This record gives sequence, C-alpha cells and structure tokens, in this order.
Amino acid sequence: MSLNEQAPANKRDRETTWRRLSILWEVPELRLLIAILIGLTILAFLSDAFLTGRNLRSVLLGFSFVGIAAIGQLLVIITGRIDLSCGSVMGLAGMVCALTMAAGMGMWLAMTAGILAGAAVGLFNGIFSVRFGITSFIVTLGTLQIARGITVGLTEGGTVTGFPDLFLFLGSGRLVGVPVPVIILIVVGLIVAAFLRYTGAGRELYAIGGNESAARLAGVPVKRLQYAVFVASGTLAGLAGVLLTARLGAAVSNAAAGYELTIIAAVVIGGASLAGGFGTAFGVVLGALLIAFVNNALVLLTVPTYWQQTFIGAVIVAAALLDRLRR
Amino acid sequence: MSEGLVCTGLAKTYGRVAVVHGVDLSLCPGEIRAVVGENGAGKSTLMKMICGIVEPTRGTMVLDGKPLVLPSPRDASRAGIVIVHQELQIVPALNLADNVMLVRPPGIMAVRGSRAETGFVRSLFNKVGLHRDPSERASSLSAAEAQLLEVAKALALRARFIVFDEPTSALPPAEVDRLLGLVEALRREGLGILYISHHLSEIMRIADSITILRDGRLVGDLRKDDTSLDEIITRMVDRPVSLYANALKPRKPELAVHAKGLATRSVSGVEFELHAGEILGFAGLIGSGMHDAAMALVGAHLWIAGTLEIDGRDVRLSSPHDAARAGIVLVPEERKEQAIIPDMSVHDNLHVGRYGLNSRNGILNIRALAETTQRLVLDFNIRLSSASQAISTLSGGNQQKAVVARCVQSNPRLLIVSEPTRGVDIGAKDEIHQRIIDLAADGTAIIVVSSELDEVLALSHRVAVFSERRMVALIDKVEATPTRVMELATPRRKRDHVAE
Repeated sequence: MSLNEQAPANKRDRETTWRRLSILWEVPELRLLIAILIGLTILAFLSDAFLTGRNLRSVLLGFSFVGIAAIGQLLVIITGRIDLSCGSVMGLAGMVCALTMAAGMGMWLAMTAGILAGAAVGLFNGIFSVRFGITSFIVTLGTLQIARGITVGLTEGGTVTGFPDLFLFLGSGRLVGVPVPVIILIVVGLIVAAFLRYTGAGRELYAIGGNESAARLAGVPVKRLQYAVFVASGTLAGLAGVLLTARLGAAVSNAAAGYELTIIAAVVIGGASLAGGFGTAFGVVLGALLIAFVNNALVLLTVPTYWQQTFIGAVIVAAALLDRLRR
Repeated sequence: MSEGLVCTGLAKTYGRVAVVHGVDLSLCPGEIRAVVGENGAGKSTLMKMICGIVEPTRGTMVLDGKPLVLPSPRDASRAGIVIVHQELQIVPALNLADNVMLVRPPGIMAVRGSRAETGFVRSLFNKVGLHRDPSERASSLSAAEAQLLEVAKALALRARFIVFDEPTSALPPAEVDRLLGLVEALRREGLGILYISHHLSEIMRIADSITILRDGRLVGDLRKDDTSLDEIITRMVDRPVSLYANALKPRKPELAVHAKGLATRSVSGVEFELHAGEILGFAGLIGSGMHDAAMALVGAHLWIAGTLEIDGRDVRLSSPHDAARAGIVLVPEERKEQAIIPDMSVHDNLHVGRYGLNSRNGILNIRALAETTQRLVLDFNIRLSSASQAISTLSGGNQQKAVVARCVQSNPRLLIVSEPTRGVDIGAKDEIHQRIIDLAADGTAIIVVSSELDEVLALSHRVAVFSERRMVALIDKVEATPTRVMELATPRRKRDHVAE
C-alpha cells in the first residue's frame, strides 16, 4: 500500500480498475459465463433456429437432468472423491419410481421411493469407500454396474409406462413459461450454493478436499461428511432420474446410460478440480449449460451425428487445458 | 598423500541460514567413523554433501590425494562412496536380483534372470549374510533383511566407503547385533564406514573415531579409546540454558489432564498428570515416539491400552473431532501436510473445524466470523495483506501463527503443540513462545512436543522423555538439564538387553 501512495492519482486509479478487472477474470464462473455468451452470439448469427423459445426451452430442459445430478456430484468431487455411479443411479431411481407407481403406490410416495433408492446406493458407496477405505473410483465403478444391473434385471430389459398427468407435468410441464425441471434445478442449485457458502459443514467440504489430514486434525468430522456427500450425490441423481422418467413418460432400463461422463465433465468444466478443494454450484450449472449448448449447436449446424461425440470431447479437453494454463 | 577421504571446511547455507559451518572430516579405508549430534546438528546435511546429494557452499573434498567434486549421487557412487539411506530405497514389487541390478553395477552385463546375474547377486548376498534366493520378491523382506539388501547394493557398486544413516532405528535388538557384526566385517574387508546414529552404545561398541556436531559446527573429533559416553553427551549438548526461565508462571492447583498408561501401536507408557496452567514438555530423539504420543492424545491414532481423564472425566477419543469436543486440540507437527489447507484463505484456515463457534443452527454468522478473524489476526500479529488471500502465500512463521490462532480460538482445556517453531524465523519463534507462556498463565494445560531440546527445556515446567517408542521418564524442571535429558533419551539397547 505504501508503494501505491507515491504513485500519481490517475495512474493509481487505472491500476485499481485494471486489478479489479483481472480479479473478475480470476473467477472461473465468470470466464465460463463470458465463453457461453460469446458462443451464443455466434450461434445466433449462424442459425435462425437457435434464438427461438422452442429451441432454448428444449436445450434447458435437456440440460436440467444432467445439472441436478452434477450438483450432487460436485459435493463428492469437492472432497476429492468421485461418484461414477450417478448415471446408473438415475436409471435405477426412475425405474423404482415407475415400478412402485405401476404397483399402485401413490405418485409422491413412488417418487420418494425412487429417490430413496438413489440415496441407498449413495450410502453403499459411502460405506465401502469411507468405512472400508476402498478408492471411491473403484467402489462407484462397481455400483455403476450393480445399479444398472438391478434396473435391467427388475424389468428384464423392458419399459414401464402409464403415469398420471401430474407426474408427466413434473417432467415436461411449464410454470410461467419455464420447464418444471429447470425450476427444480434452480432451486437445488440455490440450496447447495447456500449450503457450501453459508454453513460450516459446507466450508469444511473444501477443507477436506484441500488437505484431508489437516482437516481431520483440525477437528473436522471427516468421515461423517464423506458419508453425507455420497448420500447427497445418490439422492440428487435419484431426483434427476425420477424427473427424467417423468419427462420421457417411460422408465427405460438403459435410461441415462453413460450420463456419468457428461455429469463429471460438467463439474470439471464448471471449475472444480478432481483433486478436490474447488468448485461451486453456479460453475457446475454453467458447465452443464455449456455442454448442452455445444450439443445443440452441433445439431443446428447439421454436424453429422457420428462426429458430435468427438466435438464434445474436444470441448472438455479444451476447457480443462484453459483451466490448467491459468493456474 | 595417503589413501582415504579428506573433507576440509565443508559448509552449506540455504539462503541466509547456515546449516553446516566449515566442518572437517577424514575417513580412511578400514575405519569406522561415527557421526553424532542432536536433531538438527547438521549430520544429515554433512552426509548428503559427502554423497553428492547436496552441493557444498564452501569446502573441498580430496579422495586418495586427488580433488573430488560430486555434482550428483551417481558421481559419488562412481568414486566409491555409497549411502545406505534411513528410508530404504527398495522396490517391493520387484525381486531381489532386480533390486540389486537397478543400481546398474559396473562390470556385469547379464540378461535379467540369467545364471550369471543370479550368481553375481548370490555372491553379494553371501557377503552380507542375506539368506534369501535372488528370485524372491523384495516385499517379503523384513526390515533387517531390507537393510542387508541395501548393503548388498552398495557392494554391487564396488563401494569403498559406505555411509550408514541411522541404520538401526527400525530394527529389533537381535537384528541390531547382526548389522553391527556386518559393519565390522566390512571394516575388515578394508572399507571405510561413516556411521550416523543416535544410539551411542552402538557407537561405543564399533566406532574407531567419533565426529561430534553441534549447531552445524564440529565440536569434537575423538578417538573412541580416548573418550567416554559422558564426554560425548556433554559435548553434544553443552550450551547455555533457558531464556524464558523466569517468564513461566507457577501452575494452578487443579488437575486438568490425567493420562494413565496410554498406548497405541507406535508408542506406549504415556502416563502423566497435568495441572491447569502447567506446560509439560515432550522430549526425545527422532523416532522416539513423542509425536505419536501427541497424535494419540487427540485420538488420531487408535488406542490399544490406557485411559485419559479431562477434569476428572474419563474420555474416549476415536478422532480429533471427539478430542476437540472434549477440549483437546493439536497444533500438528508438519505444518504443510497436517495443519494448513494451502488453497483456502487465511480466514477459512482460522475457522476450519470451529465454524460452529460462529454459527447458529449450522448457518454461519458471516459478520461474527469476520470479526473473529480480525481479532485473531491482530492478537497473533499475523502479517498479511488480506484475510482472503490463500494461506500458502504467507511466510512459514505467519502460517504457523495462524494455525496456533485456530487452535486457541476454541479455548481448549489441553493444547498440544508439536514442533511449534519448525521452519519458522526467529521473530515469529519468540512470538509463538511468548503466546504459549501466556496461554498457560491463563490456565490452559499445555504440552510442548519438540525435537529442539532447547525449546522444550525453555518452555516446560516438567519434561517427559521418550525413547524407543516409550515414555521413559518424567522429570522436574530443576532436574532437566540438557545432559540429563539426552542421557534418558539416548537409546541404550545394549544395556536393556543385558538387563532382560
């Protein structure tokens, strides 16, 4: 500070403005937002179909399921662990919900059953990685198979349909023009963002990811919080799966297969580090949004379907590279 | 010029800190020279310079009359100087022959697993007395056998001088004899041995000559036959005592902590009564178990025996979280690995594990948090430009002050500080010491664990001495002279062995 006092006033002003701007650039969420806005502008010029309510709504709707599960995933990743089972959990939860509803259970009860199935898988992940100390990558790679296997096994590969209108509304209805799943995503995002920012437990998740043994010795209840994040990830994946079933109007045994990769990519693009200690709910939502828009652009610009996967992969690597270069 | 290694005026400085000041050392073939000194006396740095791991700032080395410059360990081993490290450099997944061949012994070119290779390795094993087949996995070796494998590797490199760095610290007593026998056998073969050890009894048994270091300076170069154990210890620790002797307030009457025979897998016999306002020092050499005792007291290690009472209440701790709730907190030994969350802000680092103090129903009171941060930063004189900067950007001393501030914030009944001033500059060191004394004056029971004997003696009312993973003595300040503590801390396996 004493150095600055000797500088001429106008120069000092310029310097502080510049510093403020560079601080803005330091925030990964804002960089992402800028990237998305630039991308959208270009897209709007290239394709007439893009800036239509219909198109935007369908993009938002598609991304909301990934977004909800990604927010759960974020909690796990902040602590330096990973949950690969989220895609399969979405499938399982949707199926459990559909089957219980078909068996005559009330809609809300059935949805709860679906979500609880997701939470149960999360608890299983927690027990095996925290209690027995198996790497979460391996445990959740196992539950990815187990949950999918159960989903297929329950229906022998079949499809369950025939839901009440209210349930379908939760998947594809709108409130004041906004798709219901998008509203649910926003609510979940706000709750998790507030949790991470305004509760001690939330702050301590970052401490665990930043230096687990230091957090433990500082008195953070590390094991308890680790159980909690796995259960939260399972629960939110379960919620996403139930909503996806409502959206499709059917529970399919391969629903959300392969989603785990998109979900994890959204978290990483959103500024989290797989080593733990970083990441925000807002960033993750933006990450999911970016992937959704890239997908949409590829369709609108009539890039052959066969090549779309390659582009998505390139975007993920590019985003990770940019983040790496900045650090 | 005679045969052998002669080092003159070897010195090493890091930045402005001198670790070794101009030490002379000579080693002849067929000689065992012991190097002794307290923790931090400069033994390891001196050895690293001789083995090409660290480049000397000043000084010369001469081998057989020819000047010797060692830019890397590889050059040292080419010159015939090989170190057997304290942490053994063995690849457990490979077999024994592979582990030997990894050092690329000169003069043998053999296909992996060929008869020539097996024969070569077996002949080395015979020399060192390792009765194992070269095709066995290295992971099957005991600590003692692994040590023998290390010696075999040194011989494979045709070493003329072998440096042993604390070779017996991980060995059971019976194996120690075997290793000492081997070292003597190597001397008969004409090898020169540099033997670093805290175990003075071993040194008195095998050494021909003894180099004594203190604070990075040479304070003794003695023939074993002309000296005694007492003289060595006196030279190792001789220096003025306590700076804070008068600052310590008398302890309070009420008993705060009572540990009864606490034991974990790595330390046993932790037994003491600690009054409010009293500072208990834990002293010992590296590997003595004193840090493990600190970890046990905060529930970070599993207890296998004993009990702990706080204010007369029995407490069972299975995690540092439990300990914090019982009023016991720890300033951990390793700042970087165990204490700070490097990428988090100073602010968050001050509150981690204690957010509950400034929140209601789990929701943080942001303003109270900020006020607490401000108060702690002022109280502890933490120098920073903003509380939101990452703690890793602070100097070591300020990081340490922040860690102490965090621990004190929750107003503990028992505060344990492990190595409170390791890697901290002299100014911060005084501030931290003063803070510890003040806390005791306010009635906190404190345990100071330090491998710096001066620090323990200066700060403590009483001193618990650890040796060989046991608490071996609890002595009063008046009795606790450096020499007395060193005597108690120095492992005397030989004598115990006979006593059993």
